Amino acid sequence: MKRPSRIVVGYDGSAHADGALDFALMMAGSCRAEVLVLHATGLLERYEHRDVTHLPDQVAARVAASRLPAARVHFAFDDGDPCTTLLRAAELEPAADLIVVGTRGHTTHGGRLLGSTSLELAEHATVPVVIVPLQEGPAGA
Amino acid sequence: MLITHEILDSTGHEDPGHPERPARLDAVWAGVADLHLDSDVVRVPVRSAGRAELARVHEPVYLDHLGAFCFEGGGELDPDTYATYDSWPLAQQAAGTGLAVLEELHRRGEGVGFVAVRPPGHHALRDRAMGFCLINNVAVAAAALRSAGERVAVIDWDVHHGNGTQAIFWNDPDVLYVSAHEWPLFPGSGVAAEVGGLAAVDRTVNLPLPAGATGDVVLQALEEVAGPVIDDFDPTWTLISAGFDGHRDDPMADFEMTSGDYARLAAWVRGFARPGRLAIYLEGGYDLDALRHSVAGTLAALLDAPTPLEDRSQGGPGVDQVARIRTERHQTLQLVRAQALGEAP
Repeated sequence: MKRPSRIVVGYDGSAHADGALDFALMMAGSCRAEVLVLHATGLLERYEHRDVTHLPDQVAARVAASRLPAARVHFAFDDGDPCTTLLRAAELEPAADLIVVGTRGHTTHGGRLLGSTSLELAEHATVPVVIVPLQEGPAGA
Repeated sequence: MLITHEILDSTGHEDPGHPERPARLDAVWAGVADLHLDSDVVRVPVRSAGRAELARVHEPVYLDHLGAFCFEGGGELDPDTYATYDSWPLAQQAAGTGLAVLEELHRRGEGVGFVAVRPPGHHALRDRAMGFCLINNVAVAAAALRSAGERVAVIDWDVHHGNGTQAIFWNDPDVLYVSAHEWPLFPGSGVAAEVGGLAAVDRTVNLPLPAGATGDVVLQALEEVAGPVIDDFDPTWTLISAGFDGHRDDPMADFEMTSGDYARLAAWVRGFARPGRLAIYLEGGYDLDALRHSVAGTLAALLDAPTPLEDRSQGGPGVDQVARIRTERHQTLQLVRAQALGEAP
């Protein structure tokens, strides 16, 4: 298996997503990879008028705290559910060759076996998937 | 004559505050009542779809997992989509009732079918729930017809692209999928260059239109781009994936359509659908008043039933987009056909 050159990480601003982002940044640093930070815009986000405009800044702050040059990290919004958008990022050129997600994002019910984005990705992805558990204390510390 | 079904009690599938809620069906049936059809309505019993009927379009392992997930109490399937303990039997009933209406239509040989069930279906993939959808009801219906040797056109006018239906029939030359939808918007698919798989080239027609599009633009796209494809396909059955979230009052999207526009779209479908071989399947629509009036407008146009309608909307953006869609489809079809013939580099 070759080193990843383009990593996509799912990001919804949760503590789980922060942990996944930190891991992706660390991996990118050691592999000299680029990172695409992807936020999936779903139906409810629009319906509930959730404000996600702060997410790029939240990501930029974590990138700044890492050793990775900011120019190698890109942020994007994409319409769809997290699984679909991440799989799309791993299929369309320039395709990602590693997917990183947290064990769960923002949920109301706590996330159950079926439908957990991480497990759905593991089942459907054609590239490796890293599922990052939530760390105790400050992520990445 | 309206061929429909007994009212499905869907109150067991509810997540407080979620827009895909039982009251949607109340609004739909209120829209039907507004037409005062009286004796011109036939209601068949609600029935559950069998495993074999569902397995035509869904992976058996997905059906097993969904059933088990619900049996254990349900929860979130993705950030948009929920299931409860009752969702699995309700989803089976939603899909099965769609089949029961088709069977009654077939038996009578006349009338218009109307399936008002939830949860909706057109985002559901073969192996995954998505976008409020668990089982792809219209796909289950289309697959049943397909297995009986029919050629089925699915006309999807929900404001969101029906990615699940498209994916399920991507390589099936006997199912034509047509979608007019807002783009960019969830689920992110449905660009004009998606024209079908190598075994079903030109059996997918996507009409992605900009926010603000009005009914005249949606109709123009359907008539000018999808119309010739439908004529060439000559469907023996036509199913409408009828979402009403393109209404100007709907909170989910930014089309500017009215109940008068849905009546006009329905009249367009009526122009090519064979008599007694047209059925409507409810998808989205989340503003209850808009849903009620749009259902009434749609059925009024199909049944010649008088009802007050909002004025048709016009003058919105997207006319230029229709020309671009036609060009993009033409170029893609040339490439894909060459690829299918092994001529592509």
